[in-house]
Amino acid sequence: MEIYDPTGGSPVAGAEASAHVSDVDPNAVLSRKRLGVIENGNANADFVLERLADGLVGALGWDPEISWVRKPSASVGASSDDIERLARTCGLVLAGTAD
Amino acid sequence: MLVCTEPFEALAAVQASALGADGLRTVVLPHPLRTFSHDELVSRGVAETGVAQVVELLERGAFTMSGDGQKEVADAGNAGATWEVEPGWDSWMQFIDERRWGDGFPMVEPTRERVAELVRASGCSGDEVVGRVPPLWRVLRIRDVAVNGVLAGLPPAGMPVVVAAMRGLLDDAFNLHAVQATTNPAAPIVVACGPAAVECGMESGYGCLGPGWRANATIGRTIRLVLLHVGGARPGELDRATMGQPAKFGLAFAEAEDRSPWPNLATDRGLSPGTSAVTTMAVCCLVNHLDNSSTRPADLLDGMARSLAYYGANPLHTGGETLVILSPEHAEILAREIETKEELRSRLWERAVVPRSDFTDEALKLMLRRRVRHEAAVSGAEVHVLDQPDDLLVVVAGGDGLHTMICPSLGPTRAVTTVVGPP
Repeated sequence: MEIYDPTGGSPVAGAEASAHVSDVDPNAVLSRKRLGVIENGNANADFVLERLADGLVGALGWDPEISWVRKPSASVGASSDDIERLARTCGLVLAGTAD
Repeated sequence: MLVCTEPFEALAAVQASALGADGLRTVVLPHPLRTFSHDELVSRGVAETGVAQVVELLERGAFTMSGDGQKEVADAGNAGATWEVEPGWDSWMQFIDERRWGDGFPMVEPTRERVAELVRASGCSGDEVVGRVPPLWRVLRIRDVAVNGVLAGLPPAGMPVVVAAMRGLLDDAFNLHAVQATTNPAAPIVVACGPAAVECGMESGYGCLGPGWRANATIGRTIRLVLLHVGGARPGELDRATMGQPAKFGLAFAEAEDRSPWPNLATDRGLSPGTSAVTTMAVCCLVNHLDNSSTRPADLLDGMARSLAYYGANPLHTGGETLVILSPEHAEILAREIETKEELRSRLWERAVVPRSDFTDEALKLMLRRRVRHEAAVSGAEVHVLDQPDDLLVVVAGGDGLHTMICPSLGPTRAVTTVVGPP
């Protein structure tokens, strides 16, 4: 008996993704003077991420300005304007959660 | 880099992969974070754990991510893939169990002939793309809807209603991704009205939210199977619902337009009277409101407001909407004095409040941040459960009896109304 596959049969492999992750020189991260943090609004997310960012600055000997994006809820994405701005200006972006 | 807690690590990896970002670095913190005080989080060294991982990941090599993760829909890919299964009930059940397909109930084999019949009933081409279903963001075609319809036992006449509902669920405003991956029990509800609901046999009367009505049951079930199979939201894996709820098996019904004193929901939302339409919404629960003593509209509204506004109501904390399914008898009482749904929504909204003192300082701060449209809702000593009267959706359904059902939505989602038929 021949039956159809209910998963669509064409998962992500059947589509062309336009996002790519590629390696870069770590020094390039630290050469930029800005750290981005996307905080999702869950309880304690701000507290944990603030300390993580502070600790990171100390551990790396890096002294960037920090750009915060504070989402109203974990269930909504950051705006494309915010994402574009962080990508353009930051050496490293932490997209953070708490749950 | 993505920062998340342990239970969300797999979801993060799959999401990154589905969007083309395989290899996105993830920093994993101990779970949970929300339930501890700041002092406890400091003593647990949560931030230090994260710092160490970021440093290690950077030492292994930095990375960059480009693009927006959107995918071009492939022309064909391997859409319409088929399997060969040994004939017989036992081998079929073993086949679906091995693949973890389904919602736990037995399903009907999606043979070529059965699927073709549902595709024909849709009035569309099988290759027509409906959209992409989160969290795996797989492409959903009409044929895929039909395959899952066969599995669910969907009669052909229900296919146009399912397709319209799926278009609504995949509208950006609905925010299906939030529904599919949340810890909340939110599930889609489908409210149908107009000739198409009648033609496909959807029930609007006694027990319309419960068992016994094939169209209602299989329309809701088909949608759930699409969300499970094409979206990939399996419980405990990418679907992070703490408990879920029975509505996640499927929930669809028709309005009792013949017993409503007011226009139907689609008309409220701007469509012409008589249009066949479905409204989809993500509901967190169904709260039964019993009132078998009030005979005056004001008394009925006062009680109903208390069933809308309670401290755990999702919209109170995160914004959102609430669907009120009035029984015909409750609707008749209200209509003795209330001529329009607009007036009904306004009077119910103003009564549906909780004391501001119910909130701790921290809870109030979170609520104000999450309810981005809260200006009219938070004033003085009271907090309205909804941001504005239009956040109430009101329909009439059910048989005789004095029970109204109240269904609060998942906050960052919005109800979407779509016409049944070609887009």
